[in-house]
Amino acid sequence: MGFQISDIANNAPLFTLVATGLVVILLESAKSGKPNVSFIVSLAGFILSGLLAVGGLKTEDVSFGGMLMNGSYSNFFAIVFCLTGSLTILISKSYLERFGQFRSEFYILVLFAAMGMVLMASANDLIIIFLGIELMSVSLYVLAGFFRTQDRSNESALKYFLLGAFATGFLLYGIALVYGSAGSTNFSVIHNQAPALMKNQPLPDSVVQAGLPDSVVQAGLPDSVVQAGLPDSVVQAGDSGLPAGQAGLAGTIFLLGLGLVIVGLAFKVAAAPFHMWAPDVYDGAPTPATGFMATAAKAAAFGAFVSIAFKMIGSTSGTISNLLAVIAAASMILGNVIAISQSNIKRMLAYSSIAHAGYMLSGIAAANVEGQAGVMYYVAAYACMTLGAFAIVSILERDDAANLSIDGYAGLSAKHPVIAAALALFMFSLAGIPPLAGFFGKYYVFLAAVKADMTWLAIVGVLTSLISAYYYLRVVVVMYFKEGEAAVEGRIGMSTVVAIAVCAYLVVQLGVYP
Amino acid sequence: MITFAPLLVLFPLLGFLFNGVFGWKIKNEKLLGIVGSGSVGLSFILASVIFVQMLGVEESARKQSVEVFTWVSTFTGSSSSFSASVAYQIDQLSILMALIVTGVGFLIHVYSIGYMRGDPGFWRFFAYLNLFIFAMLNLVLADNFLLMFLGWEGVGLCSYLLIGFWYDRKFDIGGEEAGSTYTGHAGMKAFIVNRIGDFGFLMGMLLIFVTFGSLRYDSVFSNATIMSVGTPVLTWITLFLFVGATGKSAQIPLHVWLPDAMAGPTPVSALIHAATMVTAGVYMVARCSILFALAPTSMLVVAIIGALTAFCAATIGLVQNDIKKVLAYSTVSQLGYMFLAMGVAAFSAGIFHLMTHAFFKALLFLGSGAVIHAMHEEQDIQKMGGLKKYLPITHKTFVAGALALAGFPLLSGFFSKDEILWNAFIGEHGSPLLWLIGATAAAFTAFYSFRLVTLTFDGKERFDHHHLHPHEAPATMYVPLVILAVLSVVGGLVGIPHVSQLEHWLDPVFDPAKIKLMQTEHEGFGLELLFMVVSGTIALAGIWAARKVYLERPEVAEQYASRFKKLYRLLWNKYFVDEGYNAVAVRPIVKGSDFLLWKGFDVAVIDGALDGSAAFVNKIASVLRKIQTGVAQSYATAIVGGILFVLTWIVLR
Repeated sequence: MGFQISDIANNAPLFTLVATGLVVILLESAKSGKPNVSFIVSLAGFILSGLLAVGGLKTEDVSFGGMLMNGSYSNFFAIVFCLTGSLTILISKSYLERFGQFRSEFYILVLFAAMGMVLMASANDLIIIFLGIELMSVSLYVLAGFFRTQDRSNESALKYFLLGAFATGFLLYGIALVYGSAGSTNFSVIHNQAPALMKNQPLPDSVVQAGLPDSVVQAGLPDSVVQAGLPDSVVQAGDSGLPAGQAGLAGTIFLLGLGLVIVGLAFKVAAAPFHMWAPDVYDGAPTPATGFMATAAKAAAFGAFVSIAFKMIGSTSGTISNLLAVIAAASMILGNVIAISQSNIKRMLAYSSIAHAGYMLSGIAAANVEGQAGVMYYVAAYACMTLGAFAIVSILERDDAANLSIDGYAGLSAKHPVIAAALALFMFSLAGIPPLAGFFGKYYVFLAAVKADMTWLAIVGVLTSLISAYYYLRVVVVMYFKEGEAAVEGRIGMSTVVAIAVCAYLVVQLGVYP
Repeated sequence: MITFAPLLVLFPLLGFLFNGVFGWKIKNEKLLGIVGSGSVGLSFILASVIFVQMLGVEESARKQSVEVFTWVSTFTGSSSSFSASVAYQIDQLSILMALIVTGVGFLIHVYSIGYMRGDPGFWRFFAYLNLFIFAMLNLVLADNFLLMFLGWEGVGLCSYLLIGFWYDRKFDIGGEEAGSTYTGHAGMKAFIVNRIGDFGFLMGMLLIFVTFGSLRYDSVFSNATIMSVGTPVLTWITLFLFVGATGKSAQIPLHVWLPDAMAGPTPVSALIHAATMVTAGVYMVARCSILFALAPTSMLVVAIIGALTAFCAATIGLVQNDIKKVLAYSTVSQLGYMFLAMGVAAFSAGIFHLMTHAFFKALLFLGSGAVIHAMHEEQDIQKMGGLKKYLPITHKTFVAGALALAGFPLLSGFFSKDEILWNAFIGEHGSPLLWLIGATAAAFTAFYSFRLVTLTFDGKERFDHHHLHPHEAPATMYVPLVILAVLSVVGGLVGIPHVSQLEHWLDPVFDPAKIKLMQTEHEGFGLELLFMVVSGTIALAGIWAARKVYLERPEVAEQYASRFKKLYRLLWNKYFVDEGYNAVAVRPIVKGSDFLLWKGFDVAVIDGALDGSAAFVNKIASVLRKIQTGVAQSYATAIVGGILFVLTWIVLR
């Protein structure tokens, strides 16, 4: 282990963000009250970092003694974070000005959150994942409560913090269990141990019986899932060098640890049943921050998720795959069905984001290369369309938090045809209508699920996305087919328009020519 | 010329871009109309040139594929080879479809110039129409399933936009629960019902890719030919695809959207909801004929659904009073015939009927548009009558269309319908029962089409003369009517059995399927002739009965309606299918979303869990309660519940 210059070069995008963050802090303390400068510097930092990440797509290397893994994977996510980060900054300017909260701290927080995200995506060690998650989450807690005079915003931040801290505890405990059983927190080491650990016998019968009664499990799950969950290899006794009893215990502890790590990440991606915080937090937080949370933070959590699923575990575990499949199905069903009854657009998008987490999880559950590629594509596509939608919500939101109801969008097409068309585009993409990006995302992950013999999951996915067409379309219907007084208060910020245009372009571009 | 095939698709796209981007600034309707219709006209000319050229080459050289660009290719590092191109396949089937789409489409565009005159949304209308033609051409010319799906969704989107075109107008869904609703909602209904169909298509497509490793027609179909009949996966694929077809082509049980779709402007009904889009399902089944041929179960399902739809829709058509509703149910019914043809492996006959239907149904819709135009938006045929002296051209063309629809001997509809019925009777996959259902529906068809003609154009004038002065439509409207009328009359000649060439023209497309089905040519010419006579007699009888009842003894209809009150009510309410869906699906989902899952699960159950569930949960919850009040603690409880689930899952794996 030792520090090398190449470590910094390999992590250029990360260090650019770090440097930018520090510069903005210094600038702010030097000449306080010039948020415009912070705005420009942060934006430049994000763009530079993004460009460096594009340049780094080809190199594959580990750095910092194997703690970080750099290459196409981490840099792909870094690009997504820099893109969403810079778009968030663009969107935030006029929004914050309108609410009289245009302060540099917003940009500093976004930058630090992005650092955490890049760390998560380049992690090759559970400790780095944890570090990244905390850096990101703490920044986001503050961002959620950025409007400190607003009760809503405070409530949002507090809820996010309490529940987030709660979930983090489980994550950390899971990491500890994995370390205890595998003897390392490094992905590569664990990856070598994982097959042996997961091939052993389950716990002795007495322990199993002490758990919940069988009926609970049977009632909760379709038979096919339960049956499919037991590949022969799992049942057979392990061939690792350890004595059978000890190996069994270590294996179970390992899996329990993984389960808790999955819980922690499922909380971050807002997958059911760990989704409850999302609607409240999304609703209360300032809209650009919500957009950032819903896209970049979710992308980061998926970045970590994919790393753990593929780099750490490998694609061999039926138990974990089926667990993920159940969580995915639950998220798709809950998210989509509940979204129908929402009248507040931010809450609707929150439930929609839960549903999309479900779609992406299906890709991970499929545990094949198609799934991995599908999730990566989906993350990018989802980020563009959701951020675009939040950008438009931020334009229309008013001081008293009014105009967040979907009915308030009536007649938008007559007043602002371009904005209405852009929102319609995002809604169609979210609903998964080709040739937009949202369609291909779904197509890839469902294809992966079918290939992994999880056709039932693909069917749940397609059926629920069918339901989703209803609430996405309702927004379009209200905008186009209803008379109303939807109006934009004041001037529409130029930077927001640029952000919307970029999102719209990408949604079409990713779909027409992926 | 075939290398220019992509231009076929490009012209309407350019027209769409022109009208869509600049349209709102251009106040000149003439220019907008010319660009809109001209782009489709150019495509039609190009399609005709390609068609003529194809006639001149060897049969084996008629099928060609033109790639424009690679649309989707695999990700780096992925082992699967998922790729799809924007590529167009020109063959006997697709060029025929392209001719129908652009030809009928062009006439309807021209008609729309007159029909939409003065509408503030004139440019929007033409932009949508062009976009529709673009999507439809992608659907029929695509050389892979993905591009076909793009067109499939695209036409659905345009249909949605055009149904809700006059979004502020009220419109009556009919039946007993009749309440006015906005056209925008009709559009939404169409869209959502179509999404159910799309689900089938998408699942079929996924399974095709998993099974064959490609989405290109060529590789899929050639790989399919070496599979054996009755392979289960093929049955699943075809059933899923057929679900897609029932959605798009308004077959039972997904037919409910089409009658409501009549809320859109009449040219839209003619183009999208009669002549082209709704036939996409039929085209898709025909295109995948080889897959269906390998799945006898699916064939049977297709035939039964087709026959039932043909019958039920025809019976509903008997009692409706809205001129467009009658035509809508007629369309559903005729589409049923086409699926019946597919199901009994009479693929060419089905496509033949698709073509003749496009002619006469477009004609009937446009004619009804002229009537509605003349009557100042009145659509109730009970409030019309005696219009033939005011609208002579419309009347004559409408009668020609109705005769073709009824199957009057020697007109286009006669030959195509007869061929389907003949195949339903004699084919290996047919049965006398299917024939009987089809033939009964044919009698109803003849009856309702002449009920429509008689109530609209003959008899006493039942409208208010003081307010209405019906007048003939302008030339841009009646010229297309005349052309379509001619086609409706003579269009059948291309498909006379044993005489003409259409069947042989399409043979190469359907041969692989026919080989699998081991279908033999049926000799028995005499029997076929007898069936023709029977068909003709049925048509004539239906027409005669309708004339007799509605011209001479209108009271008979009412007597029957009151004598068979229950039956009448059933038909008038369209078998209560909408009500059924509302009760079974729509309301429960909406309510369920509201109360059960959101208020119930997310709020109440979790709160309730605090008090009622296991002590362990309570203990954690009470610790939390000290930290935080309000709902956050119940969320945490949910998390604990989730964690318990995860851990139990792993321990019990």
